[in-house]
Amino acid sequence: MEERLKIRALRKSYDHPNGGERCLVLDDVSLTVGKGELISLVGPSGCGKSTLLRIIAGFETAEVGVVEFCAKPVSGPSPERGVVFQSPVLFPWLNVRDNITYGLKLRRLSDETIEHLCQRYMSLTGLSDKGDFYPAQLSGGMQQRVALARVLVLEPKMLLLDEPFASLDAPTRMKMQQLLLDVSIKIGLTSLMVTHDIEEALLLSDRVYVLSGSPACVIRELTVPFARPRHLDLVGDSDFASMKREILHALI
Amino acid sequence: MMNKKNRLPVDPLAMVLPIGVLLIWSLCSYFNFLPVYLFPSPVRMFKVGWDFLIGTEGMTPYSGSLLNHLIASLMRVLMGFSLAACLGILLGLLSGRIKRAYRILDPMIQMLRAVPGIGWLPLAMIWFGVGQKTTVFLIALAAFFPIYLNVAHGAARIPMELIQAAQMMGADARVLLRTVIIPASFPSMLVGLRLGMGIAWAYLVLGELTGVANGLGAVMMDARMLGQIEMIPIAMVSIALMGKLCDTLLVKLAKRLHADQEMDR
Ligand SMILES: Nc1ncnc2c1ncn2[C@@H]1O[C@H](COP(=O)(O)OP(=O)(O)O)[C@@H](O)[C@H]1O
Ligand SMILES: [Mg+2]
Repeated sequence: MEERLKIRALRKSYDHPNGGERCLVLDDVSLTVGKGELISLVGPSGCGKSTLLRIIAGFETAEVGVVEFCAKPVSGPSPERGVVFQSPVLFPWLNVRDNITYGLKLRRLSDETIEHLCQRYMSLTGLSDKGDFYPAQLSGGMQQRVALARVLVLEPKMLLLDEPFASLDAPTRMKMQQLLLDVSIKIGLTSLMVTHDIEEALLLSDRVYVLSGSPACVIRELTVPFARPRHLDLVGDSDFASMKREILHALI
Repeated sequence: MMNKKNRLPVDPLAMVLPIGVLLIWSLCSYFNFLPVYLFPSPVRMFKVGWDFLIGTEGMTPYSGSLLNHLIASLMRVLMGFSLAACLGILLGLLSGRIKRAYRILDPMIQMLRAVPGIGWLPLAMIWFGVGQKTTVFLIALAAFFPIYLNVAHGAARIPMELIQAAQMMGADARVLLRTVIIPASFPSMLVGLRLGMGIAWAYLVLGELTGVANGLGAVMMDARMLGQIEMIPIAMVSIALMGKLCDTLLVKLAKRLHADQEMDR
């Protein structure tokens, strides 16, 4: 399989807030993501999952190690790697349509192309009738759809999702999980998703990396065998339950 | 909050005190309880004010000259305020967004801010002489601080993730400034500009009191010398109305620029 993201022996530390020695957040993290895969990262909270994602996104740099995207070292943020944050982080002064077309307008595209792409991804994410709304007028779930649509519309080579559904209520979260599953298949997405929800990881991903607590390193890598397209009912399956138990034991 | 149905432009309770004062004042004048050279009657005041605007009666030396003075004052305020706005926004954005610029600019600006604006008057008079330039300088100086402080604060407070979101969608530094940093600090920029505009009118009076030929502040000072006491409150009210008008226009303009944002009060 063609490799999209390769991370080898990554190490990252921060200055301790009250001086003194630096605290190590990531220690010798290695992982790969292949084209078309949906990979999950699970780990205890505060272990450094968001830090890892920020490094891949290019917002921060690691001290030691390799971060290669499409065989080139990552040197900064790029629309090739679309990020969905835990909170929607939309531009409150732009309406939904302008939020979604923000990145498109920075490219030299004709108005018709922009309009066409915007329509397509708005309908794909269930936002067709929300174009004129401002973020503050939408529910949390709808805002997160906009956050997803504005990166999908840029047709990124990879999606980086940091606990994207963690702040949503259960029914909305399930709807969004289904949406991500559907969209992934429809447009052949490659994704790396951080989550603390083991069921979510098993439902959505092809493989799961389990990280240990601080400093984080990969302690387990599991291949999720369930056939696609998957459905949320999978949660009741006995194989599903035993994998869930396996991850839980690795985490505790 | 008032009931939407029977909403008046002004709360009736707010009218009680002003009307009461006006009533007592009228009665006192009518029965000659107050010396006229300290408190002219409301009727005379109104007549002189009207004459100041229209100029048909020739009641005072200021008859019909309101517009002249008003425009002279407005020009000074606008000049000083524009200077303050340009510098305040520029330096505010710099020091709000760039750590090193903050370390260079902010301590110096905070130090200068510790001097009350009035304290600059003697120096300004030496540098710029009495009149126009001193007035504009004092206005610009005093209005600069609230604009700078609010812009810097607003720009520094933009959430990191908002910037990162724009970057990962392809924004470079210039695009970032135009599409994220300026719109995100816009509400606090407006707060700063409104405070600055208020202060501009206050310092206009200070500058014009030093002696200029025209302007509402000059009218106040001259009227005292000429014994035209009615003119003083009339000039005061004119300044208050102009200040309010400028504030309203500023908010209107801001709303047009950013229709979606909450900008009331
Ligand atoms: N900018 C920073 N400065 C200092 N410490 C940080 C910074 N960002 C994260 N950390 C620390 O790194 C650790 C991992 O944080 P994070 O990546 O957010 O964890 P997770 O996403 O797994 O919950 C935490 O202990 C946090 O306090
Ligand atoms: Mg996190």
